[in-house]
Amino acid sequence: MKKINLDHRFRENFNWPLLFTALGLIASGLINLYSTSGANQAEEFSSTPFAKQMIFSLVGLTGLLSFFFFDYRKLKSLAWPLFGLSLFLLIAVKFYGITAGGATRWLPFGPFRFQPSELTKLSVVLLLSFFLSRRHYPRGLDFKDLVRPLVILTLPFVLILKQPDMGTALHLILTVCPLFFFIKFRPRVLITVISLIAAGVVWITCLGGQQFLLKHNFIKPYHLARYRYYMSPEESPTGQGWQIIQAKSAIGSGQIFGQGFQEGSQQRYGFLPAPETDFAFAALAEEWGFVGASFILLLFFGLIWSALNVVRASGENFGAYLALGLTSLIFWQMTINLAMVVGLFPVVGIPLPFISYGGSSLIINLMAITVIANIGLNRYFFQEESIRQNPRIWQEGVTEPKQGLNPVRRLAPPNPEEPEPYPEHRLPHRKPWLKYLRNPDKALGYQYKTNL
Amino acid sequence: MSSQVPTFSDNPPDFSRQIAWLKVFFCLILSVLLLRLWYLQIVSGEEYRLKSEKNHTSLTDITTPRGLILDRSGLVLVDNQLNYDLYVTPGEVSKPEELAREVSYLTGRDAQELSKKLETLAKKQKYNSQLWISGLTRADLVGLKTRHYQLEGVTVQINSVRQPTQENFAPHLVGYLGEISPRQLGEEPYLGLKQGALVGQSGLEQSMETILHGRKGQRLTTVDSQGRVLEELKVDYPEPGYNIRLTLNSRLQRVAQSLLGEKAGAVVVMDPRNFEILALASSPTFNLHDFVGGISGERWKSLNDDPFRPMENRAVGGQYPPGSTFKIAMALSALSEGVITPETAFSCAGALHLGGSRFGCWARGGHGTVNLHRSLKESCDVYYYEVGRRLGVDRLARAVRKNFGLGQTLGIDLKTERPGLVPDQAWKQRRFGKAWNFGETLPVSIGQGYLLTTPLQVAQYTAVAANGGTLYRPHLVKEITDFEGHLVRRVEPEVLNHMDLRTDYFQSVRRSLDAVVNEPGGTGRRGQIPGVRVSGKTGTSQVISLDRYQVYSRGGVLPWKYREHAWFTSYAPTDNPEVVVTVLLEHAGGGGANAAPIAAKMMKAYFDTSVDTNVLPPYQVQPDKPAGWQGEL
Repeated sequence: MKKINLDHRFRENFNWPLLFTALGLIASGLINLYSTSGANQAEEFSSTPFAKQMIFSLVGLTGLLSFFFFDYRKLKSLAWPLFGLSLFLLIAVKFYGITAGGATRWLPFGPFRFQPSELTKLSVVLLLSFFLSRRHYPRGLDFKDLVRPLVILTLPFVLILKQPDMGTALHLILTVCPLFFFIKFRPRVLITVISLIAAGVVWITCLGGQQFLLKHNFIKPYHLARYRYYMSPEESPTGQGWQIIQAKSAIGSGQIFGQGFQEGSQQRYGFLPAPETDFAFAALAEEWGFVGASFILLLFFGLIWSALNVVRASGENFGAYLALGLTSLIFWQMTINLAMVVGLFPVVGIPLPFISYGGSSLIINLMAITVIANIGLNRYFFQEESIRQNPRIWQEGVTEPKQGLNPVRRLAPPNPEEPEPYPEHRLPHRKPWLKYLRNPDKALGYQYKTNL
Repeated sequence: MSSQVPTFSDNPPDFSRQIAWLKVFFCLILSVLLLRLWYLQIVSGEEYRLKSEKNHTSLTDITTPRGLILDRSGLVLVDNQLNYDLYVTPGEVSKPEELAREVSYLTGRDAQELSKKLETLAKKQKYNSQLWISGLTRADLVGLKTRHYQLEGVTVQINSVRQPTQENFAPHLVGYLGEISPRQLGEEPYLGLKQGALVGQSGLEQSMETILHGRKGQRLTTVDSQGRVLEELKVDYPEPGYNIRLTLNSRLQRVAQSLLGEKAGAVVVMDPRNFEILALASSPTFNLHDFVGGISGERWKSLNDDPFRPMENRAVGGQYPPGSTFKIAMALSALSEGVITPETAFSCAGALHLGGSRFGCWARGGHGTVNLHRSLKESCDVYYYEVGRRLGVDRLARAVRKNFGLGQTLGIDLKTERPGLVPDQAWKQRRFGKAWNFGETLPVSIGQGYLLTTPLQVAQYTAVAANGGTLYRPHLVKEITDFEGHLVRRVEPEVLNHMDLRTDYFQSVRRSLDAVVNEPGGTGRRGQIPGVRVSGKTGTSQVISLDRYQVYSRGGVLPWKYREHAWFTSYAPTDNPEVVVTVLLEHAGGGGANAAPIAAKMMKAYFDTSVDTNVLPPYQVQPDKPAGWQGEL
C-alpha cells in the first residue's frame, strides 16, 4: 500500500486549526441536531434533519478538499459575473419568489428553496475585495474612493431590505464594514462617517426616522415590536416575548454541566422555538451546560483567530481582503445569532454557522472556510509556475527580517542539493515535542536524502 | 490585470496593526458572550432550571365525589347529581364552523354562540379537552351519542353537582357550597385547595368540610408547549369523601318546618336521653336550589338585605331572652345551691319593691303565697325575684353555665352556633366598665335583662330537667361511614356534666312542669296532646321595657318588632321523657297562646308516625313576610 504523503509545504503551511475547528463545529452541530431533531425516534431516519445535514456535511467537505487545489485568484474573474447574477436573482425573487411569513426571500429551485441573499453576501464580499485590491490607498480611503463601493453595496442592500429581510441586510452591512476599516479611512472621511452614523441613530431614535422608514416600507411594524419585546420580553410572555423567555430558560437551565444529551426538557417538549435552526445554540447550552457552550465558543474563537492569522500572513491585498470579508461573514453570523439567543439582541433569523441546521448555509460557510484556507496556502502552493520561470527568485528576494514584523517566511522548492537553504525561515513546528524523538527529521517528515 | 500583481513581493502589505485591533475587538465580543452565558447558566441557572421544570410538568387535580348527607334512617338528603357536560378539544376539530352548527342542531343551542365559545377555548388551550356545554339533557345526549362518529374532538363527561334531594329541606342545617374565599385559602381545613374550588360555606357542608370533602387526587404529567399531555409521571389516586348520617329525623324536620309556616321562629326537637337533635327548624328560610351551580348576585343581595334574616339559623344562632322558660333553670339551680327547698314559699303581692324600684309580676294582682310548685305552674315572677336575690348573680351565672351549658357553645356541629349571654359582675365591668347593680339580678332571674339564650339552649335545660340532671353534648351527626358504607366513626353521647341534686327535688320540679300543662290554672294548657302526658313551660319574653309597653297600650297597635317572643319548651312523656320540643316564635305574643299549640302538634307528630307534611301547609321561604307583618318595622 502506498504511503500517502502530503507535500511538506502543504503540511507545514496549511492552516490546520482552521480546518479542525470547523470540523469540530460541524460535529458538535450534528450531535446537537441528533438530539433536537429527535432522530432516534424518527420512523424514517433518512428524512430527518440529522440525516440531511450529514449528507450536506459530506458533500461540503468533499467540495472543500477539491477546492484546495484551486488558485483563489481565479475568483477575480468571477467577481463581476457573480455580482450580476445575484442582483438578477434578487430581482427575480421580487417576481417569482416564494412568500413565507410575510417575506419573499426564496426562489424555488427544484425540490429545494434557494435564498439569493446568501449568495449576494458572498458575491458582494468578493466584488468589494477585488475592487478595493486593484488600487493602493497609501493615505487611506477618500470620499471619491468610496462612491463606487457604496453603489455596489447599496443596490443589493436595498433589494434585500425590501424583501423584507432586515437580518440579512444588517448582516451584509456589518460584513463589509471591516474591509473599509482595514484599508483605513482618511481622517476627514472617518469623522464624516462617524458623525453620519451618530446622526442616523439620533434620527431613528428621536426624530421620527422610524415613521419615515415605516412609511416607505424599509422596516415593518413587527421589527419595532421585536425590538420592544427584546427590551422587555415580559410584556408578552406568550406572544413575541415567548421565544426570548424560553431561550433564556433553556440556556439557564443547563447550568454548569447541562441536563444531558437528549435530556433538555425545553427543546424536547417543544418550548424552545426553532431548536434546530435559529435557537440551536440554546438547545446545545441546555443539554451540555456552561461547559459545552463555552467549548463551542472556544471552537469559534479558534476558527476566527486562525482565519485572522491567514489574513495577516496572506501577503497580498486581494487575498487579505477576501479572507477578511469571509471571516467577517462568519464572525457576524456567529455574533448576531449568539447575541440573539442569549438575549442581547432582538430576534432576527440568522442561523449559527456550522451548528444550525441548513444545507445552503453550511455549504456556503464551508466554501468560505475553504477559500480562507486556500488563501493561507497562497505563496507556498500556487507559485510553482513563477519559480519554474525564475528558479533563483528565492535567492534574490531574501532580505533581513524587519523589526517588529513577522518575517515573510518562504520555502524554496525541494532542492536535492540544498534541502533547506533557509532553515531560519522554516515555520515553527506544529509538533515541538518531535525534536526529542530519535530521528527528528524522519519524524518531521523530511523525506529527502541529505547526502547524495 | 490580476495576473500582473506580483505574487512573490518582497514588500508584502503589512496588516499586523489592523489584525491586532480586530483580534482585540473579537476577544471583547467573545468575552461579553461568555459573561452572559456565565450569568445565565451559573449565576441564575437554578432559577431558570425551576422555570423550565415548571414549564413542562403539569399537576392536575383528580376530583372526587363529596360525601353524602343522610338522615337518621339512612335517607339521602344531599346527593351528588351527575351532570352531563360536553367537552371539546379545539386542536382536533378540523371544521369548527360545521361542528358548531351540528352541535347546535343536536342540542338546540345557538350556533353562533357555540362557535364563538369554541374560538375562545381554542385560544386558551388548543390541545386540552375543555368544557363547552354544561348540563346536557337526556335528549341532547341521545342526539350527540348517535352522531358521535361525525363529531370530531368532542366528548361527553360526567361531573357531579351537589343536589339536595328534597325541596327546601333544612337549608340552614345542610348548607350550601360556594367558591372558596380568599380568606379561607390560607386557613386550616382548606389548605391545598386552589382558587375556584367549591367548599361548604354554611351549615353542615361547612362544618363537616374535611369529612365530606375527601382527599383529592393529583396527576403529575409532562406536557409540551401546546399543553398536550405526553406521559404520566405520578398519580395519586383520590379518596372519596365520607358520608355522614345525621341524628335528624327527616319527617319530624319537615313537620317542624311546616308548623313554623309563615311565622318567624325556630323549633328544636331533641332526645333528652342522649341530646341527639331530631329536628332543627328555623324560619323564614331560603331555597337551597338557588345555590346549586352558584347563586346569582341579585338573589344573594336580596337574601342578605332581607330584614327577616332568612339566612340566619335561629335555632342555634338566634339569641333571645328566654323569658319564663328560664324558671326551670332557676328552680333547679336554686335547689342545687340550697337556697330554697320545694317547700319554700314566698308571698307575691304583684310586685317586689327593692331599693326604690318596683319589679312587677305578670299577674298584676299577685299570686299570694307561692311555693315552688305554684311558682312554676303559674309562672310567678316575684318568687324568682326572691330566688335571684338570694342566689346573687355570680352564683346564678356559675350554676347555669355549669349545669345547662348556657353562655357558651357546646359544639353542636354547626358553625353558626352562638353562645348566648349569661351576665355576671365581671361581665358587666368588662362590657360597660360599671359595677353590677343589684337590681339587675332580678330581671335576669326571670329570663329577661341581659340574659340571652338560643332555642337550643332552652331545649338543653329542658332536657336536663327531663333526664334527671345530665347534660350531654348536643349533636347532629350520628355516624360517619365511608363511601362503601363501612362505619368509620360512631358519635357516642358525651356527658358534659351531671347535676348534683336530690332525686326528690327533681321529681318535684318535674311534677310542677307537668302541672303547667295538665293542671287547671297552668299556663301551658294548650300544650296537651291526647294519649301522652306532656310537661312543659311557657315563656313570653319582652323585647322592650315595660314603660314602652305602656306607651303603646295607650296608643294602639304595637309595632311588630316590639312584640314579645313566644316560647314553649316541653318534654314527653312526663314519666319517662324521650323527646324535648322547644318552640320559639319571634314577636308572636304570649307563649302559652302561640307557641304551645305548635309544640303540641310537634309532640303529636313525634308520637303519631302517620302525621306527615302532606297534610300540613307548605313552609315559609324568603322573600315572603312573616305573619303579623304589617309593613312597619
